[in-house]
Amino acid sequence: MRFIVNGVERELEVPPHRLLSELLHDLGLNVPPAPCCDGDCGAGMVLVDGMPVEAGLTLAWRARGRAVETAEGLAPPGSPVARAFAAAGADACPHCTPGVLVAAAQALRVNPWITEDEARAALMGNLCRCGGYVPQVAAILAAAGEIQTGGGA
Amino acid sequence: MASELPPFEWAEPADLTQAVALAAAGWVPVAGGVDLVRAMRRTGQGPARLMSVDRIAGLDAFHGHPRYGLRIGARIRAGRLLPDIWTGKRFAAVHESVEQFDAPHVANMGTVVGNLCAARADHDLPVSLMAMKGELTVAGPSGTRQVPLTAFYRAPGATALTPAEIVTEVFCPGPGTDGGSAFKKLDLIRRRAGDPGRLSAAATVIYGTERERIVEATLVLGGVAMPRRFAAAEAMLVGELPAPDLFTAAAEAALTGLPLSGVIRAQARALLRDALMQANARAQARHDHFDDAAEIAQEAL
Repeated sequence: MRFIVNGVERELEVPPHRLLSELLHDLGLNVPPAPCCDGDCGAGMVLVDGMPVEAGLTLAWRARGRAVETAEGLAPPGSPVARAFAAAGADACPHCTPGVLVAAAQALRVNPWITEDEARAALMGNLCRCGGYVPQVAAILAAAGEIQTGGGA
Repeated sequence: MASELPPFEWAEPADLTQAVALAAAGWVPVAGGVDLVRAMRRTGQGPARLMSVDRIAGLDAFHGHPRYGLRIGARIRAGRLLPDIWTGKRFAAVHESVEQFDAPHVANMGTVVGNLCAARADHDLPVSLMAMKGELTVAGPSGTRQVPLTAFYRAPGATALTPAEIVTEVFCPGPGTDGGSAFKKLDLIRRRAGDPGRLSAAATVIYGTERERIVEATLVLGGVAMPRRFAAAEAMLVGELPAPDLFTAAAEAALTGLPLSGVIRAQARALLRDALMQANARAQARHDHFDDAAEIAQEAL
């Protein structure tokens, strides 16, 4: 199976019953395999061809020939989103953060002039059991400001 | 790392003929796979042979228009309906049920037709599409046939499909010039063993050309066994002037004979009445010159 992970083309042998989350995990990426089992929590969110999906409910073969992006590719250390999350203390715990970073980066890519309401709406598929939504929204707005003033995505 | 899913064989037919032949040989069709993968992860068991409908040509039709109806192919993800202006304006019940469907990243995976075919009592899309008079196109060894949703469900998990048949699309006719629809649901309402966990209701109200009396109405309740229409309650509305008491009476009539008790019964009645009231308000407020202009422009093309 040939597909693109965070901009790098890969070719792997994949059995049909392998989940996309397991495949990405094996590649060393931090994609929790939908700890809720239902995909309701959004922790295993990744982008497939730019569209957010739940990796823990996706058969890996669905990604064949497509571009998969994870938090590592969308918000690498040093990017405006990662720096804003660190500054706001919104990346304190590793459970929901990968999914939140994917949702945040996707929302900012679609709309860099995001408002607070839109930032909240962008996170509606992500559950954070610490209740850390306020710093997450603040971080999205801070990253938006940096991208608008030319910081790049 | 070992996989969480049990192993299975996988096929990707490129056209309907191949798909029907595989279905006849016992391959299980899978579209978005959300319900299936959830069930396989929970139980560790699943079908031995799966066939993806994702590469079958011609199943990706999606078209919504107030006059020509709403057509949704088997490959169309639920999230695809959300930005569609005509689905939002003139198929409001369907739009509202998709809005409340699931987390956005799951709505991007699950298909509308897959949700209908899962035949689960607690799913919402069968309710709204049944209220909008949805009809399935089913492909089988001897050609295609149409199955209205009202005749599709037998029991939870049991449908009118034979093993060799595949649903290719769902179609809802246009809502009429002065028709409105609405969808409402209540989640997490179980209080005692045997109570439904979720109730959902959808309704349509259609006025005649004089825009005064109701000429047609549909009313559907889901969550209690499989979704169903209530012909007697619908008949109470035909030819009448709209009034809150009338809608309450129709909701009460619909519940006659259903095994619901106490608070759940009151909630179901309120849900049915609210769906009728909102569908009625939308039908009355419908006259939108922009719609007419857009329809005329579309016809001129």
